[in-house]
Amino acid sequence: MKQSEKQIAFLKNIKKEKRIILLFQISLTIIFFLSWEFLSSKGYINSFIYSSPSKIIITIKDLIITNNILKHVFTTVLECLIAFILGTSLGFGIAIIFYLFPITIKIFDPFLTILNSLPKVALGPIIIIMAGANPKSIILTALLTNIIVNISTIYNGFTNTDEVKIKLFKTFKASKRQMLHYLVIPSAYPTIITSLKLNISLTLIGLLPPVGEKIFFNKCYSRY
Amino acid sequence: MNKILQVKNISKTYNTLNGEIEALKDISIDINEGDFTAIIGSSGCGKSTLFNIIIGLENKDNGIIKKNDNLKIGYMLQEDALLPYLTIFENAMIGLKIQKKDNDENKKYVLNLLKEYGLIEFINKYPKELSGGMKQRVALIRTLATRPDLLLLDEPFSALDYQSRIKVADDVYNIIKKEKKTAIMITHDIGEAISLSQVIYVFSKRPAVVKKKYNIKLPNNINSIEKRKCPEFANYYEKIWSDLDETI
Repeated sequence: MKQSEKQIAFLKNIKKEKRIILLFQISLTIIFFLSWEFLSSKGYINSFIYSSPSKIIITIKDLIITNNILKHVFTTVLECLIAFILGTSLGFGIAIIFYLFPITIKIFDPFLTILNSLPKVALGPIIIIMAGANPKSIILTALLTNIIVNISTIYNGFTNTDEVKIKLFKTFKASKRQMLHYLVIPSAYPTIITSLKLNISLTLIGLLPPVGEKIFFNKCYSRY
Repeated sequence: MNKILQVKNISKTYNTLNGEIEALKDISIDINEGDFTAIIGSSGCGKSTLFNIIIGLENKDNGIIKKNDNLKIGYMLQEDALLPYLTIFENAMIGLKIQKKDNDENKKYVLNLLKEYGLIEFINKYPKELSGGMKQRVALIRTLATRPDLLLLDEPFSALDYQSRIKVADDVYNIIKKEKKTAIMITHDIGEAISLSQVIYVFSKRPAVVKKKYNIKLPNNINSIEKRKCPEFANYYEKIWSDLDETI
């Protein structure tokens, strides 16, 4: 189909805008790394604490040469994966229970608020005593960091289901299982995706220094 | 005429933290088979509560609902309530799917309805690709798919603009008549009630009581838009307007 000049100009403008955005993003990244390197090498920031891009590159090179990098990356990824899967499935399951039995959320709401406001990182020593100085402690810390937010986000997604659609399903005499399967869960997809994204970052917060790996375990990616 | 539904002396009071709210008081209505009946009343007077009681979503405090045990009731809501993640065909089938009746025969029946009412080209499209009027037609087909004997229409056109509303109301009325269904419609719109119904019940403000019943006598062989031009239409309009005016 032949496009009008106005349409061609419109599409051109959109492409131009995309290019400008990408250019700015790349430039900002380069500026960030160059400034970091400059400030570190000139001593404006403490390179021992803040490191520098060149030091990171050297460390990665060393790890590759000594063949250690995969072992450490694998450990971190595995811990992250376990905590992520546990957090997601437990959060999803508990949110479903709260939705199906509304009295449970009324009972647990204040406890969830307290748990959510606890500084989980500060629980590190208690977790070590409970689970020992091993990967279990790291996973437990990451799980504690992500699960409450996970439950709240998914549960909110469920409760935001359109009341009119719920009524529609009731008029068809839908069971609670059908309501969840055909309406509540699909309607909450955008919230569930947001929760998954949030879960990844919270899991990493639980794993990375000074929270998890650096405290508990010496075979890890973050020690470098 | 055969009475498909009789509502006798229904009352309903809600308990809230701020006290009791009496929604319905001694409501009695009769619905004849094949009739299109309208219930008109001010906002929040309890009309939807009556529908909820008829379909079994809420319990009544007093009174009797007389209906055949096998009477199948379909409910069409204020909004089309189409699921955005399902295609038009899947949306039309959702009631049957929930009731585990999505067999080949019913799929054919739904496809025929979609074809009959000009939606067959859109069966694989999603609701966002349809106009407001088309969505309402899909919502009606979704209700008709379960082959109800009685349709409850809860302000089904309130989300549409005025012009579409008149046109879609006429479409829906014709579909209901063609499928030989009995219908009860809740509406705020006096014109809509007169032009579509054979019987109108006027409800008072809360707690709702039946204030008046009108048997509408307008020619049957003309559409609802033409009915609005009849001299009797204006008479009915005036009477119902004054009934409602007193209730405000």
